[in-house]
Amino acid sequence: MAEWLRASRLPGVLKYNCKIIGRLVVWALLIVLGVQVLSLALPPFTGDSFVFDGIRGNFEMAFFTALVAGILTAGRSSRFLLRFGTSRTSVWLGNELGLLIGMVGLLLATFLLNMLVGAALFVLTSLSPDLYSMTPALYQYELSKGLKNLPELLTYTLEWTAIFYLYGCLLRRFRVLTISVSVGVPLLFVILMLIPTVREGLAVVQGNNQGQILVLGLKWLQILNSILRFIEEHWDAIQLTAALVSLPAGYLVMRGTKQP
Amino acid sequence: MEQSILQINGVSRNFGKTQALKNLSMAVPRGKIVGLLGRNGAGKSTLLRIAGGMLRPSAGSATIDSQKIWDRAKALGKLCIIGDTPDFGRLRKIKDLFFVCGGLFPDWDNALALALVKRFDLPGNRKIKTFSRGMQTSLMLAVGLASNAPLTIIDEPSLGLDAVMRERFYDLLLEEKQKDAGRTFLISTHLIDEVARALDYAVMIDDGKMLCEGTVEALQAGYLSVSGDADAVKELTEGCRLLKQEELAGTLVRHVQLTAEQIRAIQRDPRVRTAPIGLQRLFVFLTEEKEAERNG
Repeated sequence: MAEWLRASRLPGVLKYNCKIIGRLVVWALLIVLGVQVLSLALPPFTGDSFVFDGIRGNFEMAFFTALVAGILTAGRSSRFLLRFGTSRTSVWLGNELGLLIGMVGLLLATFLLNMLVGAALFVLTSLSPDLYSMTPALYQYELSKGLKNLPELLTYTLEWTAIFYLYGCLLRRFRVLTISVSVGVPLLFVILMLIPTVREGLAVVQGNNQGQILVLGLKWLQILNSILRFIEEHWDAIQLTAALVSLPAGYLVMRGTKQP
Repeated sequence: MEQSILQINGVSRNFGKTQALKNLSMAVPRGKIVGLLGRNGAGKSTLLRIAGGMLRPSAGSATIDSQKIWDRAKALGKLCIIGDTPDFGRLRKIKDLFFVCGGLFPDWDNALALALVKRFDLPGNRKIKTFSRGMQTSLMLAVGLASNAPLTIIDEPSLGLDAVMRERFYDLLLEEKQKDAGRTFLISTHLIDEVARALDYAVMIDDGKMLCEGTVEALQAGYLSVSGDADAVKELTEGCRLLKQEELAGTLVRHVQLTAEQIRAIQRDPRVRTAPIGLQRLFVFLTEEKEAERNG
């Protein structure tokens, strides 16, 4: 095992990702920090009281960073590592590990940052009770609520990170097709939703049997609605399955990608 | 331990309808500086990319110490490949690159890498992307030398380097080879005469096929330029493999392949003079011969 690890260059892949993903995570944290500082600094100027979001991991930022990091890691980073003669298995494993650790780290760091903002609110409340409000009881409540939600957010972050790495691999290997599908599928849904409305509108204009067309349109909307409801009800399972499939799929897509 | 570190067995590689390598076989001897010589488009880079695990051969196999290379960590762990296009990923500083290399190459020598940065006159604190092409190539070469990989493959080390830096690189290459006699370097280039002084072994390829291979000494000893009185030259080189014939001011010069016995006989004859054919000229003659064969 030790010999394989030495020869595999996995430590090198992790070191590279530590530099690159680490830099991205730091930038994301700086943005979150900047927004928090700005929102804390604004009330004295606007006169509005500060609204505390609560203590929680910033999943939205982790989600967006995972997308960017997934694309960068699967693209130029993989190319660089493979060019030095690193095995594809090591690149895949190192990238997945680097991304998962990085994004979990980001989520936890944003949680800690929110904790600090909450703590800073104690000071600000004592200075300006009209604009800021924080009590030990509220802090305790927000903290326990945030901690309760944290495992779910961590799971979502891990799942989306795995999915985005596969997306990055697909983007590198089948650029046009991947872009077409990622734009085309949501567009198709919108079009499908609009078709009944358009038909109804046309029917009204042309003076056809409005009632019949309205029924057809409603049926169509019902089908779409039941699909959407199914997705909504089983979203967690769908997300988990997609993430589990993404892990080996990322390797398979990357393995067959040509090197420039 | 096998005599050769890298084995290429009947390798072919197609890119669409173009066949870059045609059933090529070769073995890279361990502990030597091996030159892979060929014209532009001869298939050198394709061969090196197969040897470096970046490309899969369409047919045949490439192995390091009898272990298949393609996506095998154990075999790939023994090599360092420096491509002809410098690529530093998203790393900005030399220290970041060396930090990563420390994990990529099991025998990485950071002190040597830093010393090489000085020898190549590289500005240690500047961002890599602001480096000139030559400086970036030098940095890649420093990585290759400091990797201490048992097999170091370097594709076109001369690209972007000025004459001084090229000579410095060949000196460093010989220094490193002297320090560790077990290291093998496989270097592709089309600037043959320049690299010749550093080479122990040469492999010449053209149009995806092997032209010839052997130690530089043996190649240079087996091919000679014989000049002198036209009749004498013709008589002495009768039946030899003639690579090229030139007439200069009444003197006939024949560049031929000879056996050791023929060489001794010719060198005893006072009517003619012999001179070794340089590696570059030999390559040119062999390539022209092949070209003439192809064109009928």
